[in-house]
Amino acid sequence: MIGRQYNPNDYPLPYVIEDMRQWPISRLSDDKQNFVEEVKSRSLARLKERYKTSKNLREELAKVLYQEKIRLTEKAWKADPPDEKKFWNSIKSKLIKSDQLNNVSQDSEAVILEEIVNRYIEEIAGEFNIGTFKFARTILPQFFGRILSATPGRWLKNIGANVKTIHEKIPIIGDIEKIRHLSTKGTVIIVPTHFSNMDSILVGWILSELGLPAFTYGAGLNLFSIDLLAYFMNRLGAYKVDRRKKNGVYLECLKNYSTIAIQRGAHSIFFPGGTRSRSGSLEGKLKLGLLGTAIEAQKMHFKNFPEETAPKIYVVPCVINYHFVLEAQALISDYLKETGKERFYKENDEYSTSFKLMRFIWKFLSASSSLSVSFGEVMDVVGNKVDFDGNSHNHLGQKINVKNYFLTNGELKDDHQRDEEYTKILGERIVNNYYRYNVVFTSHLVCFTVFELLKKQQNNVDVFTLLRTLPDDVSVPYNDVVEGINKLKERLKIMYDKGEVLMSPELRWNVDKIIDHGMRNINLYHPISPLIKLSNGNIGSEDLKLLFYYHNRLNGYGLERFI
Amino acid sequence: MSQNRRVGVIGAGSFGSAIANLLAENQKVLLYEHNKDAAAFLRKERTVRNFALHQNVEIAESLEQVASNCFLLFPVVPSAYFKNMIIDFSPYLRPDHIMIHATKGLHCEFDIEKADAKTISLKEIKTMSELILQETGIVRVGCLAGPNLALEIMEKQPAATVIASRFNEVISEGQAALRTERFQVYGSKDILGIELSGVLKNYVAIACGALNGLGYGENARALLITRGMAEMIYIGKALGADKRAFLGIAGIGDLIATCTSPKSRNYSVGYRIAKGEKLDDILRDIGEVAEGVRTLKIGKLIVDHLGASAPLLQTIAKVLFEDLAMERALKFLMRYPVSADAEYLDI
Repeated sequence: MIGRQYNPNDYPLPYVIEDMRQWPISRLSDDKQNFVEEVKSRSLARLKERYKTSKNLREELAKVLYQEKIRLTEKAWKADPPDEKKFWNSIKSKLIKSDQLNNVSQDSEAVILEEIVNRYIEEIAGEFNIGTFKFARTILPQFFGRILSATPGRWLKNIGANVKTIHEKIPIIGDIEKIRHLSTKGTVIIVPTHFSNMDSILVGWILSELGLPAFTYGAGLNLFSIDLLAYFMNRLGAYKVDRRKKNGVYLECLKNYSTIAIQRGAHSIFFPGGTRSRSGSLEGKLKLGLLGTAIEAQKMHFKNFPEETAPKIYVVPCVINYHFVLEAQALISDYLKETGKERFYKENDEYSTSFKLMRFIWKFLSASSSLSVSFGEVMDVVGNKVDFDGNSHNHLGQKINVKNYFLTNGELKDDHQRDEEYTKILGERIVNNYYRYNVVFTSHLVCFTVFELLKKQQNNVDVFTLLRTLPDDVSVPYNDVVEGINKLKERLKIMYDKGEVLMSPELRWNVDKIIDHGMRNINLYHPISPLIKLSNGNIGSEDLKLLFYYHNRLNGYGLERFI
Repeated sequence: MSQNRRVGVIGAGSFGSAIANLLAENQKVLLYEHNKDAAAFLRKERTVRNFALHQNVEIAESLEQVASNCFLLFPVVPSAYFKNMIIDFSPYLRPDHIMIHATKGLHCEFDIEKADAKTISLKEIKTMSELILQETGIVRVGCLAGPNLALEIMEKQPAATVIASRFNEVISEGQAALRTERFQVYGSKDILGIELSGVLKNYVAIACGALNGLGYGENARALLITRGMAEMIYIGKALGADKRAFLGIAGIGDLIATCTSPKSRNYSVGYRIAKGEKLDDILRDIGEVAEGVRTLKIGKLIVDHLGASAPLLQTIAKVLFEDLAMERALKFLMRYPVSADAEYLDI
């Protein structure tokens, strides 16, 4: 059964569960104390299992302390609690003491571990407040709607204008009815692509427009430095993720927090890319840590419930399509600086105060001509397709029972390595969905074509050499761009028919209009234009790096062979 | 012996039966034979090529029976029939099954007799584990490969094998099922490398048989084995495998066994070619499938498709399929320009 399709006028859809107090996230928040205790005790149990001897544990604790000391001196944030230093100093002295006691007191390390675990989990834990949610839900569409539908500069006059036009600006693609239905039968995990800091706000809002109960998600602790954002996030079910803390104890706490939240039915958003795409390409490799918690939670359900009643967890990939990304310039510079090297990205504070944030959102919305959100296939935790009633079907269409993935010789078995492999499989399916549900915009197509033509023109020099060329020195004849786009349109149409990609409606236009539309949209925001029309009619660029960034959005389809 | 474990073997050829007998030392085994007459014979006589089946081996009635009674499955079916078998099997298979195949061959989605090397796509050539993943709902897949001449295993001689899988669990379950005092089971995470080692060694074995058929001795054979392995590594690399597997038990280990044993079918094909017999006659006479001949055809398609040079493979293919005299082939190979020794360690 295919769910019904919705028109822009249908939004916001009625909530699938009317009584907000019955939403899983409300119930989780009401029971916060017990929930947090459960996360603490499971994290402790798992850690003790991992560090079996007190020597192992002591070594790990020393490592944690060492890394935390570095964090405090080199990477301190405003969002850090004021007593951080004091806390870690006391841990240090306790650790020294326990070292001196040596093996006299076996328990001392365990006590220190518990203290750290408690602190971490108290910091991670979030809350959900119905009042704040209602307020945000009234404000956000006003915000999105007013500005998207208004001429910049005149938006104040437009208060009270028809909010619904916003959904004409932001098409939502996917089997919405199925997602709504399954959200009442199990737990839904949305896994969006990640290009911009706007993503979490946008996805959170879209999901509420779909009438789904509020979702929980991990928000970067750095964002909590902004008072306004912190106020909302603290009350909208967000939990805090500190990317500076990479120690095993912290990661274990975070994983268990997510696992138990899912086990308790909290619908969740994971950004599996981990961080915004630096190159502008669709995510090819996912961070699997959080995804693994969906698998762990599903396995726990099979342990705790009889087969027929075990709740199911559904994973839904989601692609957010922008004509342009506000942070593009900073992101691509990061990428170019660090290509080929693994490194820890310093979160650039494109907005570090509430004022800057507002300005950011304002710019974004007033400049956005359109964007779109597409939801991919609903899958189970091992990546099988799920039908309207929540049954899993493998790639051959055979109906299957997910529990079987966790059985060995008929017995439910814990096997970390096996589950890791399943996570990789799930990750591959998500990436596959990203490509298939990516909507090609006119701006993507024009940027891709122009950059590829430039590459060809320069005898396929490597990208870095091309990017070092002065923008004034290169341009492509307009007719070549037309021809290139025509060829790519043909190829994209074939791929579209095979279900390998989505196309925005504008791609049906004639090429002149496509080029015009694409250029207009991409240049709306950037003061230095990634694409310009020169006086001789050629197409050039004022910023090749930006052009490269937007070109990358169509990487991975093998389109370059068709130009 | 584990009472509640029961494992399945599909294919009661000489190697399938040898595996069944090995497994039967640790648990009950259901052995499935597709050919109804052969299955009836096995049930009645309980012998394969004069070797008795172990008392713990039961001849299965159907694939469905095997699937519903066994969580651990070992298909040992020639590559040419593998796809049909796995499609028949598929409706009964679930994600809780673990499948470890022992077939040293490749599957092609196209007709290998008519294919044109220029137009084929490498994606249409699949290892058996890829075929299992494609045609069934099983995820936990592994392969078994090594110097395991069926007759010696039936004779209960000591030996070792490798089980490769991306799942540790597949390796450990396979080890638990197969390991005995006479049979060691190593593990590997590189399933593609192990599969290709087992596959590619077959044409080298044909070449070795031919060399011996011409009456040459150990120096020539040692040269052929060493350089044969180098060529296997290059082809494997081109297909995406790591070189490490080729240097282990399933690579050089299996290569030595098949290249020195008249008991190996592939070896005997080469030997008889060198003695002047025709390929068709030999194949008819052998009865069972010599995977090497198929591998050679597919291998030649791959190498030609890639525009690569694999002198041993290309020359032995000419001997088998284009009637090049073995003496001339040998001359050509001996004149072939040589590179530095063991250069493949650096690729």
